[in-house]
Amino acid sequence: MSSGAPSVAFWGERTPEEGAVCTLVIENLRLWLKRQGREWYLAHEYDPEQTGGEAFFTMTPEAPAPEPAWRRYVTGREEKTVCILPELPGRALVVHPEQSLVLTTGSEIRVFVAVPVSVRILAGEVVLDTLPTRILSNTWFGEPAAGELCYALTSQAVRRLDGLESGPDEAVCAVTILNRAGGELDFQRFCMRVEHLSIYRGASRLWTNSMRVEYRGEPGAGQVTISAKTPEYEKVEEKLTSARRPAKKTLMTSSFHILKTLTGF
Amino acid sequence: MLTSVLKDIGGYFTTELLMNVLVVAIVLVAGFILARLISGLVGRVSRKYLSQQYGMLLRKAVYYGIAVLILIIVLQMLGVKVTALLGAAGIAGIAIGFASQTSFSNLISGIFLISEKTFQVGDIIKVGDKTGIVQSIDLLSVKLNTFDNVFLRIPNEQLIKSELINITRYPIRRLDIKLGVAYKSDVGQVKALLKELAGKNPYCLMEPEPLIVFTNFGDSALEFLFGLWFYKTDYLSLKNSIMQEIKEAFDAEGIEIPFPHLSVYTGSATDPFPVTLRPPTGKGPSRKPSSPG
Repeated sequence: MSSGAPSVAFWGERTPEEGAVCTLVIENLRLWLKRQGREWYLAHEYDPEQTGGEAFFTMTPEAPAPEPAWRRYVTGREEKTVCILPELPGRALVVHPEQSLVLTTGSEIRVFVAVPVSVRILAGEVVLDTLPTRILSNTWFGEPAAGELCYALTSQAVRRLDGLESGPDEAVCAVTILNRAGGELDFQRFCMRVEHLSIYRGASRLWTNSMRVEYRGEPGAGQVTISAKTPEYEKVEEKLTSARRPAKKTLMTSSFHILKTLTGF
Repeated sequence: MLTSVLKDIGGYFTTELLMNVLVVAIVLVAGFILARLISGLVGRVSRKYLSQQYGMLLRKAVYYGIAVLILIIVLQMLGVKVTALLGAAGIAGIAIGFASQTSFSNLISGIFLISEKTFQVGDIIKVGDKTGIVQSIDLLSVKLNTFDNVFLRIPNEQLIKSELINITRYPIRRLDIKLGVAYKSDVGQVKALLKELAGKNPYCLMEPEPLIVFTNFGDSALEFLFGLWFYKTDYLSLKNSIMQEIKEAFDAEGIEIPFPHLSVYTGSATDPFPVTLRPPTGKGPSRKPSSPG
């Protein structure tokens, strides 16, 4: 069992009793888990109405079998513990700030974005499944003929940390945006390449590495720097998940929304 | 008599001839194995640098090139004069060329198709009323695998001549749904509801934004075009889910999807045809049989 505030303590190792049905609830996801020898059974369902509550993991030896069908996983050796870890979405996220942001030349802004995480279930070293805590909508970033399929995320993108409401299913990323171009940077969408980010357990929230995006005037492109340091806004207890693709020192990526409008029939 | 025939045959199969046949057989077998190996190797290496389609063409070119070379070697071993054979083949080629104009036309069309890059192996194309996944683009024809798992061969000449739609050329597509709602419906409410449905459906792309257009005052409905953008592989998932969601949402909000109505007027622009409903009297209309004469 992990330490920390209730919302972050959800993540970590558990040792379910053999045959007992464990229930895991986080955001829209409800997951059932059972162990029998070398076999693990998982079942899950999504409830869009179940939102905003505290995440929990309970073990009830005589819990009724859930309606959804069980999936059976056979591991190479008997593992008694299961590890519940957060994982960032498998695609880049297009963040729609609730209010559009305009940065004048030479200005800099730091916003906090709460990124929904997925639940990765491991039996020992073996990944049994990875399930999103909420179903995110698809979106397209870039040119219609050659862009990128991403997930859409509407965010408050708040400037002050105390104004940010983040749940147990969200990891907070501090994004600093600098406008080094000659003109204004008016962006309504911002593409976050979350594959380069790790997740840390803070005192009260989950955190990712900080991200710094510098706009130098190239249409849509930004020079992204991912901080190698642990997040500095809260005491960090441990790194929970490493980045899928650790970032090089700087990346030149398409980061800002420049989408050609498709009109007509 | 029989002994004499057998002796003649035995004299014909000399050790030298048998050795020659054996060597030719070995060259043929080894040659074709080599052709397969080299073409396979070329295919594997080309995967890194070329598209699937070009890799396949290169592999076939290497295979047939080696096969022709082996055939020439074998003919030379058998004592056939290859130069004379090639001369004869030239004359025969003209004759065959006249006889195989269609094949030649397909061949030229195939070269154009390949150079034009209209589609590639793995694309979903529609030609006329046939739709399928491209399995191979060959010099004479294109082979498709239709969605009901039928093998379809389309001659290249036909493809060049007809209108072809490459469904999966671009990564995103738009699903257009034509909708009709009753005239009493609130247009603003319908538009807002459709926008909400698009926003909630995970397969519908948030960007580009869904298209919601009030297109027409139809005969019996207000007509809308609901265009939803989706990633090319999500067509069925989106169509199945959104159609059901539209019906359920319209039912929940009391928005009627009408069937064709016809109103009959008696001269006045607004008053409907007067119809009076009378309570049943219990007596049906009597019909007297007409008297003859």
